[in-house]
Amino acid sequence: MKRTLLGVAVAATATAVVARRLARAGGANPFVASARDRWHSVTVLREPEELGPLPPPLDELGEAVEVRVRPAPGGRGTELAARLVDPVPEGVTGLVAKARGEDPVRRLRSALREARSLAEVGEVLLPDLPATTRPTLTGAPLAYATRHGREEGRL
Amino acid sequence: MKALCWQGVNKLSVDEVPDPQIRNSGDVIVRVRRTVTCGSDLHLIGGYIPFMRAGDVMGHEFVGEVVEVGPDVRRHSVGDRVVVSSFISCGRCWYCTHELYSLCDNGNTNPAITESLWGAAPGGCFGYSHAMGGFAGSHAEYIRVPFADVGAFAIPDGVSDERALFASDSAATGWMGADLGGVGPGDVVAVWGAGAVGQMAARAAILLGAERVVCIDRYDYRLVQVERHIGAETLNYERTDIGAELLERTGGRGPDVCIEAVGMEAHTPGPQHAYDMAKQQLRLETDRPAAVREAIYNCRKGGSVFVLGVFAAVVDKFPLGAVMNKGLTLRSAQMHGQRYIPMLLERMARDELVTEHLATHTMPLDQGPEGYRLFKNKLDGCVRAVFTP
Repeated sequence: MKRTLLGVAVAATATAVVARRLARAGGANPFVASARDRWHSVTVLREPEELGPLPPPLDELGEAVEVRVRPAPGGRGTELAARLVDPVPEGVTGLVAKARGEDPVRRLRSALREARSLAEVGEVLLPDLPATTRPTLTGAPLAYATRHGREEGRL
Repeated sequence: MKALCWQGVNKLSVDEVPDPQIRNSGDVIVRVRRTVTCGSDLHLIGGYIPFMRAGDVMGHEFVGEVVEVGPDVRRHSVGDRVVVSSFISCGRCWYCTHELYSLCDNGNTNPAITESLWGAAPGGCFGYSHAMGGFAGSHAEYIRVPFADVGAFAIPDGVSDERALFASDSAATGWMGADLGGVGPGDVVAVWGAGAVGQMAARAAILLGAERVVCIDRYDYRLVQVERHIGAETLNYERTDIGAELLERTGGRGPDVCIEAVGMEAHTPGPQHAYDMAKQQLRLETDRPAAVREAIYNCRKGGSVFVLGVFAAVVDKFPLGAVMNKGLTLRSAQMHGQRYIPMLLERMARDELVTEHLATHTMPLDQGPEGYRLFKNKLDGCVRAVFTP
């Protein structure tokens, strides 16, 4: 049976979406409200005083974000949470912001992940360079996903 | 440099690719001396894990020599002979400090893909798709090793490259299955799959004190290796009623610990295989879990099942009723190599753990596509094909 990458990618994406819907079905209704303007959180294995009130690179986002730092239970370090102060662009405006690379939620997710790495490791792990990957049409969706690897996800 | 690259579904080629560079202060560059095929690579090659891009370098199990070190590397110097854990882990996050290295929070540069697919992101892995960070693999002349102080280990003088190679992944994975599966003295352990990982799981179970260890496969050349090099019993599932045999060998109880070392492309006799193949090819399920089903069904009441085989997403006909009503403990993980490799190297030095027999075919990197052809199609008694870049 002929298997194309595109078909596989579509099926995998559909599977992931179904799995997410199923996973959410047991909890809050996923269709009630957008999650884009909520608190985004990571747990960092550092004490709150080691992190400070506005750990880098969240400090670069300035007054655009509200940051909350509190101890995590069970010796798990510190819960570092942030949310955007201004309304989050939705719908077409949101898509345009993403296309322009100006989506504030993406910047926030990336900043939180990088803050954790900087606090725990001292630097952010970089991908291999130069990449050995060859650009192809079928690889384009995956290339897009990896360009935004720290900006999307469930954070 | 030369590297063995994925070029599309079931397409591999040896190409010229850019040399790796130091990117982070904890990186080293390793000149690869030996690198080996793994059954989980077949899921990438066949397109079952759809996160590869044309030109990606394959391979995640290797030994080599350090040729360049980053400014913050403390444990390694140029010239060191090292074996490297296939998973990339920072050593500093909560997961790493609890020896759950493959779950590292800082080792995957593309966490969004696996967060969306699985709910959370594991760490990164060499040569194992962009879902696992997109790091170049080891089937190449050189490789960049991030967090080298955490993931690279000096090979003792008394241990050969040929033996140490399998500490990188196979032996660590197998040991984890027996260890976290809870194998202890007096246990009867059944292992589904007699490839390198299954053999290593069986050997680990013996060394952890199991009373009896049984390996199950359909290829006699693998089962002969189990009897000769591992010291476990064997069953060929194409010629044996596995359930009846296991009951007979355990006084009607069933094995205390069942270890699945097969993964998402399992074969099984009968209509179940045709059913799973049809659903997998139609993408109505992503993985064929026949060995997992058998392990759960045959495990004793209150026993433990450990899934070592790689699975991508969703399976069908999962026997949750058996798990629940028999009170089973079901556990799984990608391998926490950093947790086990130093101990494994010590055991290798004492000849408690031998692995050379797994390398049934050794060849230059240029013959990589042929090596995978032999390995994938189980030709010429191939258990593992080893490349020497």
